[in-house]
Amino acid sequence: MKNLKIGIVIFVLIAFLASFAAVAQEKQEKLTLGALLIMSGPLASFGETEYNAVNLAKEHLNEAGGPQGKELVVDLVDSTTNPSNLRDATKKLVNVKKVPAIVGPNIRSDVVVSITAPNHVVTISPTNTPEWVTRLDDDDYNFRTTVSDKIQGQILGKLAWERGFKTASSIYVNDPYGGPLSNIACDTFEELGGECMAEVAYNPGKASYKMELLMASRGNPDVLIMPAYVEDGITIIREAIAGEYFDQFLFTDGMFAQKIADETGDVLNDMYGTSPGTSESPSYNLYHEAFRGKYGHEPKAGFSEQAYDAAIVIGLAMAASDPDAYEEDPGKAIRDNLRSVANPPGEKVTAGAESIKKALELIEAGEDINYEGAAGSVDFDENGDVISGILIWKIEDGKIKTVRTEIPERE
Amino acid sequence: MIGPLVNGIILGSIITLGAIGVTLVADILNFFNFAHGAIFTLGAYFTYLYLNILPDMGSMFSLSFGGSMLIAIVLSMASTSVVVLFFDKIIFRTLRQRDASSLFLALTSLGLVFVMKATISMIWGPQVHYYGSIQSAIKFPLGIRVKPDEFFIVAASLILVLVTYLFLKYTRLGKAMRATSDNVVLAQASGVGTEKIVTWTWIMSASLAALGGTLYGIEVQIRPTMGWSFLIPMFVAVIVGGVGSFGGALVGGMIIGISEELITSLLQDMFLKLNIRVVMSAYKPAIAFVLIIFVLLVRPHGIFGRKGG
Repeated sequence: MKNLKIGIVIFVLIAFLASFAAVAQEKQEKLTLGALLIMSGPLASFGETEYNAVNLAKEHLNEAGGPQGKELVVDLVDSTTNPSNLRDATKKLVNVKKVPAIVGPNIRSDVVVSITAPNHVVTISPTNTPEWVTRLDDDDYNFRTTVSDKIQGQILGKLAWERGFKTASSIYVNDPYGGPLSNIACDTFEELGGECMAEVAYNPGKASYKMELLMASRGNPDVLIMPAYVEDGITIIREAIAGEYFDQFLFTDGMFAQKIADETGDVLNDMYGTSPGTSESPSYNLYHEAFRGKYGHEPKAGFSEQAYDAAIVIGLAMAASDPDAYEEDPGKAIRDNLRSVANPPGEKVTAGAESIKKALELIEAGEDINYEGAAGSVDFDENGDVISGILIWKIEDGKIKTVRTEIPERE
Repeated sequence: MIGPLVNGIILGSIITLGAIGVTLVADILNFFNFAHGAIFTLGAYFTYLYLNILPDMGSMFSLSFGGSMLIAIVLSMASTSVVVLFFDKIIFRTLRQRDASSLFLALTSLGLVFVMKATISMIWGPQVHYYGSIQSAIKFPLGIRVKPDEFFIVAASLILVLVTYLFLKYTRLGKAMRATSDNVVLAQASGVGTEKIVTWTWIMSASLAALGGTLYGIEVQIRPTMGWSFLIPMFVAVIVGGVGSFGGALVGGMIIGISEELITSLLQDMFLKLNIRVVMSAYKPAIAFVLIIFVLLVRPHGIFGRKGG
């Protein structure tokens, strides 16, 4: 009798699990794209906007019939800004959700690539700008749709000089993003004839940065250069104004969010900043039109163009993959097809629902395509890097506005 | 030199408000309440909530806020007390009735920290909030810069500390509380109702924490983790001053506040002159710990502590 009971329990369990397997089997008909973005903490405003952009890309691909004629779904995991959470989140996407490609991470590609590359998972970061990302040992699985900080730093230094400042100091976030960016900007500023009086590192998440401001303001420099993150940056600005340490600031992409103006009042009017991106391409306009159409407002933080581009090229590479090769190793298939859909030669396609539809049709017909993204031309070099413009932005009447794009020369 | 001293007094007065609550609970309820930092945070968020509901009444004098802030503070003190009493009713009272040891009460309060922190994050989000706009500092001689708000912070703290002191010293209830802390059995035998004392201990502790949290929010900003990082200085202040000692909490709070600011800035100056690039403010908690070791070596029961207390 007891054996019978156990038998029934085992049977029920097996039936239960089998039904799950059936569901899982059905899921195979969909293609999954991972999104590893910062949804909480000092950079959450970016993650939120980028997730909107990824969903817009998903919609455009699915409206056009989907890659390989299948529906694309997005699996989002919050990476936070903490490296150990980032590692866990990555493992979840790779080992549990088993996604072949990820839009992300926002920061610390080094942490992520050590997990994704050996597992043949493609990562395309929309935001991770440091120069060292180029040199990561990633078996060519890591890409980015944003431009290296080497270029942003140079343009930031140049901007400081152009704005008429003779002396400057910087307070930068103490991580692999802030330090190099501050160094490159200061080097460029000094080459042009300016003087960098102090470069002060800060640790994120603290309540007060008076000490850092005290150090940076020695000798009364004209301007404070801030390669910082939004929430900490707001604290620094508020304390700088209250204590009269600084009244002129220059920002980088980490501060490229409407929130900095909203939380500080009108003291930031006429302050400038830089960010990877472009503002003067048909693709950019088509993307923004679509974004406004779906969400009813402009993107609230920078880098949503890059996130859109990353999701689109992954979708296009899925479409361009040989079905058998994709079945066998989806990540590798995507990796091997990314350059063929994003780089020349081929017919140029842009952002936007109609254009993506055309792109999928061309791929179906066996034609070569060259995706020209919302953030730039998205032509990956052998390191998975792109060369595109740096946006100069400013705050005017409490609103962030883009001023112009600087296109760097290829070295 | 004087600048950091002023900053230290401001910080110290906020620490004192928290430390008095910790010391009251430690003395009368006989456990270290780790949730005090979370209560501190909750108070700050309640003020933020009421500030958004109440009509804007402009600002008083040259402060960055006005009458609505004062009303919000009072409402926040009341709401925080209600929440804390609720937790006492469902958790701490049950444990007391089962004669749980003070270790278990302390561990329970540690668990409560995570519940409260997560709830605050869920309701108000993980991002930083501010009560009001930026306020410029007034410049005094010797390079001292003080914001008008900071006068309010120190004044409000000192007044509340004084009121609490007078309450404990002269009212019937205050005397009963002190009697209970001295000897529970004797106090009960003299007709002091224990549950009533417990209730009032929580109310005072929560109200002072709510005010402390709000003042800290005025000085810098509010975020879900603010109280957690304040817990170390509050506990250190209590231990340095002597557990259960009211004057100890005041002196301990000021010592911690001033020494953290003063020592970090002195060390920072030294490193700058030696051309060593270190940001000393990251080591503030370390200074609190060095101080606690030093004081306990000299006076094992704290400055105003009683033997065996």
